[in-house]
Amino acid sequence: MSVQDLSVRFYLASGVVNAVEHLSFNIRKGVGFGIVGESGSGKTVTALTIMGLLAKPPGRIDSGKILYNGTNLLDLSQDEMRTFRGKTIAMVYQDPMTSLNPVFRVGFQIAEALMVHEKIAQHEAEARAVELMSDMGIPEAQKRAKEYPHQFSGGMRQRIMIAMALATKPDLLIADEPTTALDVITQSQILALLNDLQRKHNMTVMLITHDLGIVAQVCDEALVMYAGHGMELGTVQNIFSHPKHPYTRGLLESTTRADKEVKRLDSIPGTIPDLINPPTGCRFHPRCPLADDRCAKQEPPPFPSGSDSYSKCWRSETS
Amino acid sequence: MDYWTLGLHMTDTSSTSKSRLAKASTFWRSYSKNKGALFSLFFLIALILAAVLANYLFPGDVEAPNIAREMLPPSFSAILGTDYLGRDQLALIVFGARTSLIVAFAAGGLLAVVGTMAGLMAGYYGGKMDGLIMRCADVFLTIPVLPLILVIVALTTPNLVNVMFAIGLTGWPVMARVVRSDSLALMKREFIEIERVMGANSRRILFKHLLPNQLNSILVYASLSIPAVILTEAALEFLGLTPLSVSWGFMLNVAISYWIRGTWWMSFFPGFAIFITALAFYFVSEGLKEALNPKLKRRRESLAAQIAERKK
Amino acid sequence: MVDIFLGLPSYVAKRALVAIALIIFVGTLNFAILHLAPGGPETVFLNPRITPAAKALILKQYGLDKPIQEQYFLYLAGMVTGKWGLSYFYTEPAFDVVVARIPATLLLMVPSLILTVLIGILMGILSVRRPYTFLDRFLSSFAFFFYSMPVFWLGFILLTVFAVFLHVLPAGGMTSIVATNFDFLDYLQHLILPMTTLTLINLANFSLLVRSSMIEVLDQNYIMTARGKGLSERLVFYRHALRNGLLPTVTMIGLFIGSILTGAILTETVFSWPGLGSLTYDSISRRDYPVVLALFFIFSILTIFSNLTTDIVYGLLDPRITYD
Repeated sequence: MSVQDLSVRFYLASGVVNAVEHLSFNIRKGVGFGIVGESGSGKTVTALTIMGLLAKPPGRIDSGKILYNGTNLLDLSQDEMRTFRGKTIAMVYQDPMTSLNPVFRVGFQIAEALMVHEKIAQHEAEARAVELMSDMGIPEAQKRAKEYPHQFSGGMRQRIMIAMALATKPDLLIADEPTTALDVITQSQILALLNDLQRKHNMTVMLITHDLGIVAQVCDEALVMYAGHGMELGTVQNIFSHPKHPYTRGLLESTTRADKEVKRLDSIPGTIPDLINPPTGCRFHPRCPLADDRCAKQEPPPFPSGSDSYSKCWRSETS
Repeated sequence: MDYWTLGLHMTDTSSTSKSRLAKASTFWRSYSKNKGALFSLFFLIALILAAVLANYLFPGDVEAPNIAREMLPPSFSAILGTDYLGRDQLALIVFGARTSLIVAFAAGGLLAVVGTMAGLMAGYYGGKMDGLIMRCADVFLTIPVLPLILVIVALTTPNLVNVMFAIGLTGWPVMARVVRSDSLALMKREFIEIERVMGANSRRILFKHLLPNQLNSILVYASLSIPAVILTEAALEFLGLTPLSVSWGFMLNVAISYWIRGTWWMSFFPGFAIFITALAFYFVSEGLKEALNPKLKRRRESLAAQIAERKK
Repeated sequence: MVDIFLGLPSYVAKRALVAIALIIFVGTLNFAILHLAPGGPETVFLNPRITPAAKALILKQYGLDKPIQEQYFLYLAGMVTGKWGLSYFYTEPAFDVVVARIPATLLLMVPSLILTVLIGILMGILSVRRPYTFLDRFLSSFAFFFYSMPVFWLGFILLTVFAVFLHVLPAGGMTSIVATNFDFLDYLQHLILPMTTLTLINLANFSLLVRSSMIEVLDQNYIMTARGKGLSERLVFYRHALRNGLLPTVTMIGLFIGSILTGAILTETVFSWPGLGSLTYDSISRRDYPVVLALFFIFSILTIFSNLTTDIVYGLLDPRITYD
C-alpha cells in the first residue's frame, strides 16, 4: 500500500483543523508497520482515511492518493469501498469495551463479516467464528460464542475484535492502539498474538500506538508522526539505534530501554501544538533543541535516508 | 422533555473576564438570532402588560351578564364573540391571562426552588441522601400526576393558592433530576476539590459554587417547565376544580355544555389562548437554551452533516 | 439456554417489590389526603343528607371512631380488598362504580397507545435518517406544537369540525343511543375522534424521544465497528442501530401510558366517552369524594402495573439484564 501526499483537514465552525498534512509512506506486503505518535498526531485519522470511515463533513481529504495494489482508494465510491472494508482491509479499534454491539451475540458479530462478504450461511459462518475464537485463545469457544459482549473481560473483548477483523482473512490489518485500554499482562498476550498471526499468515499489520515499546516488539518498519506530519520513516532497527529526527530522539530518550542503562528520563519540553494554528515551518521547531531560523520559517521536505526511509528535518539535509 | 439531551456549558464563576454589560449584549445578540424566540418574548411581554392593565383596557364589570347579547358569534362589536352570559370574550380572555400568568410564574417558581434545592442536595451529599431524594422523585414519575393534583385540590379547598401549591409541589422531580446531574458533574471538577481541601463548609460550596454555575441552566429548565404548568392549570380549571369564571380553562368547561349549539367561539378562543401562551413560553425557553449554550448547536450541526454525508 | 433465567428473576422480583411498595404508598397518600380535608374525613364519607342513625353506622363501618393507627391499617386493608367506600351519587360501592367503567377507558386507551407507539417510531426513524432536513424540522415543529396544545382544546376543535359542522362523525359517547348490543363498526366510528385527539398530542413527543435515542446510538463506537466491517448503511442502521435505539423506547412507553391515561381524563370529558375519565369529571362536579379517591387509586394502580410490565419486557429484551 502506498500513501502519497495525504492531507486531511476538518472544517469546523471554530477553525480548520490540520489533522494530516502531506503524509507519505509505503507499506509492503507482510510487513509489520508501526505508526507512532502522541495523541493528536494524526495517526487515527490516517487509519480512518484508509478505511474510508472518515466523517466527510466536517472532514475533507484535501490532497493525496492511497494506492492499494494499484487502486486509489480515495477515488472509489462508497459501494466500491465497501468491497474492501472488512474484507481485504480490516480494522481493530481502540476501546474494546464500547466497540462491540451489546445486543448481539459475540459469535454472530464475528460471523457477520463472513456472511456479508463471502455470502455463506449463518451456521457455517458461526462455526468458523468459533474456530477463530479458539485460535485467539478464548477458552470454551463453542459455548462462549453464544454469549454477549458484557459477559467478557476487556482482554477477551479485544481478542473478539481481532477475531472479527481476521474472519475474512484480510491482507491488511489496521490495529488502532489495541492494547491501550488493557493491563500490562493482557497487553503482552495480545501483542504476542498479533506477532504470531502476522508471521503465520504473512499478513500486513499496521499498528498504531503511542508506545515505542510496542513498536519494538511487533513492528519491522515504523513511521513517526507529529502534528499531522510524518517526521521520520524507516526500519525499526534504524530508528531505534540511529534516530535521525530530533523528535524521534526525544521520544526514545523519554522511555526506558531494556538494552542499556538509562540515567534519567527526559521528557520533551513543551506541549502538542494547536492543530488549528500550527507553528510555521517545521511543526516541531518550538520544542526542538536543534531548531534554528530556517526551521521556523520553512517546512523541511522529507530527506531520504536510505531506501524507503526519510527524516523531515533540516538537520538531515546533509546526511 | 429536552432536559436530558441538554449538554451544559458550565463556567467557573471565578473567571469573569467580560463586564456584565458586555455579557448581556452578547447574550441578547445570540438570543435574537432565533426569530421565534424573539417574537414570543415580545408576545409574552405584551400579554403581561395587557393582563396588568386589563382594568384600563376594559372598563366596567367584565363579569356582569348581559342577556341581550348571549352567545353572539365574532363580530365588530365583540371581536371574539360573547359567552353564554353575554360577556365579551376578548375581555374575559385578557382578564383570564392574569390567572394563567400568576399560576405559571408562582408554581413554576415554586417547583424551580424545591427542585433546585433537592437536586443540589442530592448532588452534593450523594450516597444515601441522593438515593432517598431520587426515590422520592421516582415516585412522582410512576404515579399519574394529574389525578394526584385533582385529588389534592378537590379534597382540600379548591382555590387558586392550593392549585399553585399542588402544581409546584408535584412538578419538582424533573427539575431535581437535572440539577442533580449537573451538580454531580460539577462536584467532580477540580475547583470543588480545592475548596473541600481548604475546609470550606457545605453551605459555602453549595451556594457559592454549585448554584451560581448552574444559574443559566436552572433558568432554562424552569422556563421549559412553564408550558406544562400552564396546561396542567388549564386542565384543572377545565375539570371544574376552581370555579373562577375569568380563567381560560373554566371558559372551556362552560363550553362543554354549549358546543352542540355550534358556539365554536366559546371553546376555540380560550383554548387558543392557552395554546399560544404555552407555545410562546416554549419558544422563549428554547431561545434561552440556544443563547446560553452556543456549543450545543455547533456540535449538533456537525453531527447532522456527518450523517447526511454517509447516505450518499 | 438455561442461563436466560439467571438474571431475570431477581430483576423482576426487585421491580415487583417496588411496585407493591408504591401501591402501599398510594394508599397512604389517599389516607393522608382524606384526613387533611377540612372538616375531617367524615365530610368525605358522609352525604350531608343522611340521618344521624345512618351517620353513626357509617362512622362505625369506616372505623372513624377508632384511633388513627388502626384506621390506617383498616384503610389499607380496605383498599386492597376493594372496599373503597360508598359512592354518594350512585349509592353503590365505589369499587363497583369505578370498575364498571374500566373497559370503556381501555377501549379508548389501548388503540391510542398502539397508534402512538407505531407511528411515533416510524416518524422518529424517518427523521433520523435525514436529520436537520426539511422533513426532520417539520416533524420537530409538529412535535412541540402538539406538546403545547391542550388536549381538550384539540378535542373541541375536532368535535366541532367533524361532528357539528360536517356531520360526518358522531358527536360523542361510545355507542349510539339506540344500539343494544356492542356493534364493532359503531364503536369504531365513535372511536375515531377521541382517539385521534389523544394520539396526536402524544405522538409528536414520542417520536422526538425515539429520534434522540437513535441519534445517541448512532454516535456510538460499535456503529463505527459495524461500518468497518463493510456493512451497507442499511444494515448498519436497521440491524445495529435500531435494536439498540429502540430499547429505551420500551421504557418510554411506560411513561407515555401515564400521559395517555391523564389525557384520557380530559378527552373522555370532551367526548362524553363513558370511561374512568368522564367519571372523574362527573364525580368532581358532584362532590362524590369516595369515587374520586377510588379513581385516583385505580389510576395509580394502572400506571404502576403498566410500568412494571414495560420494565419486565425491557428486561427480557436487553441481554445485559437477562444474561447475568
